[in-house]
Amino acid sequence: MLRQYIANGLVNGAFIALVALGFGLIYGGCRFFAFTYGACYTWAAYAQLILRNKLGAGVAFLGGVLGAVALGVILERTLFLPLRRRSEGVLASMVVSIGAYAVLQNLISLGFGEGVRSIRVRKVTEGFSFLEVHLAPAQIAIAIGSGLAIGVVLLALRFSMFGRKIRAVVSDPELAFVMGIDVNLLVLGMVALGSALGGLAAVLASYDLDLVPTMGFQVFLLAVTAAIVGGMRSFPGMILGGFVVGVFQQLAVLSFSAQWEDSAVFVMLVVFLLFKPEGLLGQREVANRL
Amino acid sequence: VTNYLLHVVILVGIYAILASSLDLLVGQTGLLSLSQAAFFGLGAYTTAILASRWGFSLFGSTAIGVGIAGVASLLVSLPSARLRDDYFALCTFGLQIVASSLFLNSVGVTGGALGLSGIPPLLETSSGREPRGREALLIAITCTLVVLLLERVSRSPFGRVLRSIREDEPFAQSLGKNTALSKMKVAMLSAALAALAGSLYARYATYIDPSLFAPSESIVILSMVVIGGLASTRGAFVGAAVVVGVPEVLRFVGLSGALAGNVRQILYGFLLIVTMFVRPSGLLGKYSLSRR
Repeated sequence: MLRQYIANGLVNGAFIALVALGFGLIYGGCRFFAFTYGACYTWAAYAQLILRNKLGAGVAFLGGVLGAVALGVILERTLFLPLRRRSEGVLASMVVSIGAYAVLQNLISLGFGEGVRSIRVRKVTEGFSFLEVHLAPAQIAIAIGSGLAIGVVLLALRFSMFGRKIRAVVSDPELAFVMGIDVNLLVLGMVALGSALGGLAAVLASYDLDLVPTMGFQVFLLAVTAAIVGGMRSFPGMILGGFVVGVFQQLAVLSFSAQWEDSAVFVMLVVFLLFKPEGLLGQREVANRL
Repeated sequence: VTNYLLHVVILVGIYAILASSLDLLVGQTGLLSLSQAAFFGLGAYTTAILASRWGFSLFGSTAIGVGIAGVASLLVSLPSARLRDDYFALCTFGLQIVASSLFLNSVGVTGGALGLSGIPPLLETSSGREPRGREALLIAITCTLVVLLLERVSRSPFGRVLRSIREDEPFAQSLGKNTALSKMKVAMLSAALAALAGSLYARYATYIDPSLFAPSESIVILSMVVIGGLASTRGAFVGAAVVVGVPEVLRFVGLSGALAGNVRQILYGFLLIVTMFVRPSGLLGKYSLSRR
């Protein structure tokens, strides 16, 4: 029984690690908690829903990911870059992103209704069993898809020029600017890549879960929690954080009941913020504390 | 028609108390808190349970609700002492989500998703007449007292310490001010006022459910303060009037139900964005978030 929950937690964790990495790329560029990341996620899932009926699964997959990228890029250029240019603080940007999230989520509600939509395959499938652990095909797809995407992005961050520039901007934007990096362009690239990971996660998740207009908000909060737990300044840390949150969530389900799984995660978020705000793998950053 | 207008006035009054309670934190002290709906709910549930199960009076149930919220505010003062701007906001939002989940899932105490109904009203009806007029008077008196209290706080040395925390906390500390203690006090006062608004709401509506105290409501309350103007009590009242007025206008043009809920949220979100771009200090504000 425990083994099954841990296996579910690891699959869940791979998924959360993926959304946390996407969120972390956006945070690293923009430096505020962009609630709009949740909207990109929701829009990707619904873009896929529309395209799937008309053009098939393959196009829908791409369309979902690209939809998230397009939305992220548009928001960055119309809202967040102008705010940065006027050097408004983090709180102003965060409040704008909260407002934009409310608009985007409720547009989905207006278009598709508050109810549940689904593209899941209703047919019961065999799945895959190993060591008394059973995983459904959708879970395996999520685990493999998330794992591949995370691996590729981590390698790119480590070894490519784009990745080096990203790490330079994350660690010190002003120094990166002095060294001749076009910071605004690079931030746009980070937003695009981060949104793409969010869109990919949404598309993968919709093979396993129903679509609701509020789906992105919960995922946004899971991503933030994973990033805080692992460390806002460390990409490997965020991935570790994703697995920690995923397994912790399943263990909370096992020990209490499903209705408390979200509360358990947010208690963890609050505890980490208060007592270890730099996260498991992050370096202690004086600026975040008083 | 008079009754309907009075109803809107009463709602604006209650939400104005709630908005000005948040303004104490966001506007006066510069602490962006996203957990105000939780304290609103704490007051409302406490009053509802005490009044309907044990027959507490209006004054008694409100006083206990306010007291409980004041103690619970320590959960907000701890992060306020340790975290800066956006990390504080995130932490309070986490607390808000946990509180909402408690309201929703503690079915035995809060009635779960169905909420609590049959709460004793604000004022007993002696005859069959609707007591809206006297209720509106009661709310108006309470609002006046709250405004006087807030003006007094704002002018006092304590108010100046709060604003110095907002502008430059290390400087305030260097003058020997215990800023952590001041933040604890202001969080307590803010939570108490939010719970007062919650108690009045529960008694006025006689029915409450968790959706009134959901995380999205914390954002609605923040919109009131930001749109009306930070660090201004009049601003909080104007913000509350705008935010309470929008759904009534929507109903007037024939939009209702779930659709109106969505349109309402879109309008609030849009107003938040426009405010931050065009007039970051809000309609009547004396301070803007962009200075942080």
